[in-house]
Amino acid sequence: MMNAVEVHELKKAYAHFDLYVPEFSIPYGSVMGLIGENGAGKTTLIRLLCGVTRADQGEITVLGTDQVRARELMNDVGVVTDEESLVPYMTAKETGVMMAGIYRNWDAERYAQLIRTLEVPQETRFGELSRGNRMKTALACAMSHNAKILLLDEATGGLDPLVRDHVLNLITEYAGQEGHSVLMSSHIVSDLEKACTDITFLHRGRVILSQPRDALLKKHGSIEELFLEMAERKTV
Amino acid sequence: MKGLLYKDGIVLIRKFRSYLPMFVLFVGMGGLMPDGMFWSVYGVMFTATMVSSLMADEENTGWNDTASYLPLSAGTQVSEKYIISLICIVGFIVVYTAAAFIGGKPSAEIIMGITSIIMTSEIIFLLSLPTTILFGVQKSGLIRLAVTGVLVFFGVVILQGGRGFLDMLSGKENMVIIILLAVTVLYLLSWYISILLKERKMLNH
Repeated sequence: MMNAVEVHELKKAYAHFDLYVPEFSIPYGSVMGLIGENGAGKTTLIRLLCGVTRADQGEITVLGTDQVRARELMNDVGVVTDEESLVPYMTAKETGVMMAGIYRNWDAERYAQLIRTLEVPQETRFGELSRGNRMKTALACAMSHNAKILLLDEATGGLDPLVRDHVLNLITEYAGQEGHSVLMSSHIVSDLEKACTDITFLHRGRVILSQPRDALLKKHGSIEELFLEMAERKTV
Repeated sequence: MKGLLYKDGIVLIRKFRSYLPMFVLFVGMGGLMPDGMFWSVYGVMFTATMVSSLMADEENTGWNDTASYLPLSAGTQVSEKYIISLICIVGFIVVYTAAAFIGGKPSAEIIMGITSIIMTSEIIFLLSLPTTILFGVQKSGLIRLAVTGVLVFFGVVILQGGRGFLDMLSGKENMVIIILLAVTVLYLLSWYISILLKERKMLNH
């Protein structure tokens, strides 16, 4: 199998919104950027891929299995959501101890190293950390259990430009390792332009474009301009 | 499972530590005082709500959503809470027995006291844990309040603070064993039902 994620005829309907993805895939070794306006369906798609939300119709295969609702799969999937809620009474160190008892392949050394590198205060409780430091702790957790794929939903939001740059480098480095893939959604188009190998545009629950970044850049010059142009065209 | 137990241990120490002295005080008082069964039963009822409070805290802090992205099955998440309930029951028994020995209670009374404590805590857990999973924190809080009210009424008025219960069952050891077994079976059944409810909740998300 060439793809870490494969989606076929996926449908999920809510009262005021529905997501329909006829075909979508994330090749192994790629960093797929997901762009779309608020409410475009980025979070819904990530939740469906994690098996947290049940699809109404369609097929989802993640890392070769279609049993995405089996929680065992999450040992190989690292997730960071935009509303990161680890235990507010625990420090980063204690969070690491907890995760060691949850993940099968927890790498305590890697976690400690990431927490140090990202400069997360080790003795401060999660609930007392800034949003940026919370995201960094969550990111360190997602990258410390030898996950084969990372699903990042607005994971760089709330980070200052320097840290964001550092995190993007970590993500690129992670994706460079054999058999690793990343799906990251962000409103910060420049981040996606920098870190991603492929870009997918979602608009009102529909995939309107999914192509390699370099091809898009060659054709349009800038992803941000293309995004604004496409969103405008679709809105009109 | 280990990770969840560690998490709840930290949460209990940091957020619910006030339960500990209250539990030792009330359950211990029941063991020390002659005719003090009411205090032990009250202490058990009070402390047993701690597990539901842990679950409420998970809902309020958003941990439930985070847990859905972790390799944690419904069975693991629910069983961890039932293991905490078992640890609570062991704690009640240890504190009550130690206090009852210090208070010089006869062994027959201590055994009956332990039986009441096990039954009371199992009833509270078997009612509160599945309802919290099924109805969520707010609705289940009301149900818990109603159940506790009924149990207090039953314990204080009908069983005269446990004394009546002891009198009623004295010399009827077989009956005590049957009731205890029946409550334990219901407690284990609620464990199984809670897993099914959690699974259903996760599936319907």
